[in-house]
Amino acid sequence: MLAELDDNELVRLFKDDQQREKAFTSIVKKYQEKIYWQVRRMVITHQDADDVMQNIFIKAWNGLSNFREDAKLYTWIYRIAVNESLTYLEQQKRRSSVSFDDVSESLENKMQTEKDFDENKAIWKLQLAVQQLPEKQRIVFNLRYFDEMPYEEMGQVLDTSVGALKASYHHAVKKIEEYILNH
Amino acid sequence: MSNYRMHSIDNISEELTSLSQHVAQLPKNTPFTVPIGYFDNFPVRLMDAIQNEASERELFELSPLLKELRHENPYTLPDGYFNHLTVEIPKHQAPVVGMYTIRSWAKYAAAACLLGIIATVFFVSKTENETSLALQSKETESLQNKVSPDAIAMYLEEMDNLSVVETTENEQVETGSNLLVDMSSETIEEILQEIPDKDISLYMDQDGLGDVHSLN
Repeated sequence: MLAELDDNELVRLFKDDQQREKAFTSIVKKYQEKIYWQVRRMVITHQDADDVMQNIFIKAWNGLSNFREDAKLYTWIYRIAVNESLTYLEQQKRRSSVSFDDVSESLENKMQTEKDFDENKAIWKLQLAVQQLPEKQRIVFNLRYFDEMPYEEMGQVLDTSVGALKASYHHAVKKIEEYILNH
Repeated sequence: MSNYRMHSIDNISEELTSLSQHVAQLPKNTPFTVPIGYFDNFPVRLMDAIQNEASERELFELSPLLKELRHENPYTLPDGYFNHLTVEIPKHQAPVVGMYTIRSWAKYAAAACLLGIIATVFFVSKTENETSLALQSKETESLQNKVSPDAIAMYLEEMDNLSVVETTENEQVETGSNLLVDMSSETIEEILQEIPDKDISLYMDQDGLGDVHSLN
């Protein structure tokens, strides 16, 4: 029943105390997979992705009462997801007091512990290439390449101009191509 | 999918191809795996986490100090306690009887005892009544067998006569006492003169009136 409702109707139901939990559960079911894979590509392990997922949707629960209905719900949740993923990586960086290169290496190591990992397979090679990118470029590449998000929406998520996003994406694609050709 | 979205995806694909043929040909599916049922269970786990978070926030608003102390444990354990923790299970164990069985057994036993007591009391009192009635009727029967109807009739007649005699005697005593009271002294003297002195003396000796002077 609720799954058929659009985002605006779900947000309106969420503001009704009686319907809050049901409406929120529908929102979670609708976006959990897209958000999960976005997060997973950033933090690599399932355990870390699960922690970040909880943080994202707890933030959404706490903030949805003040959500403006003229904004898009899914760009708002993506924005929370990106911020939470970056915060999580930042915390890990601070905990281990390592440089960016070391973080990239750490993510690479985590990936190598993944089930079925095979660095010779193109599918894994692409993931290894993405981990070499700076965080902001990595997010832009993931949103554009995997989630096929238009620049306008990405601008709302990352609060960045379309021109800056295009440039960032172009740089990311070139670096990935270089990595694949050299490995 | 809307035309706008389709057009946008086409643009994304064209853009990628123009930037890098190699990258555009790479597979887009993910190599990562997720535990089975994760997306089915996540909403439920999330709602639990939201409830916990609300209680943590409430405690923080009430007392940040208590919130900080909540997860601190002042107790210590010897090093490697849990690594060396073993539980020795005795070889011969007494059979374990479930609580429910004992309770059930005791319940039925108590009910049976109570019913037994009630039945016994009822049976004993009934038997006593029946026995006494039976004995009474048996005694009556045996008496009736031993004594002939004529004897019973005679006995009853005697009893009637006896009661008549008793009644008459009572009446006579009353009459006699009245006669004595009403009798004049002259009459009494006349009566006494008719009785020999010897009989009077004998009567007086019997009743302890020996020191009383002879009337005659």
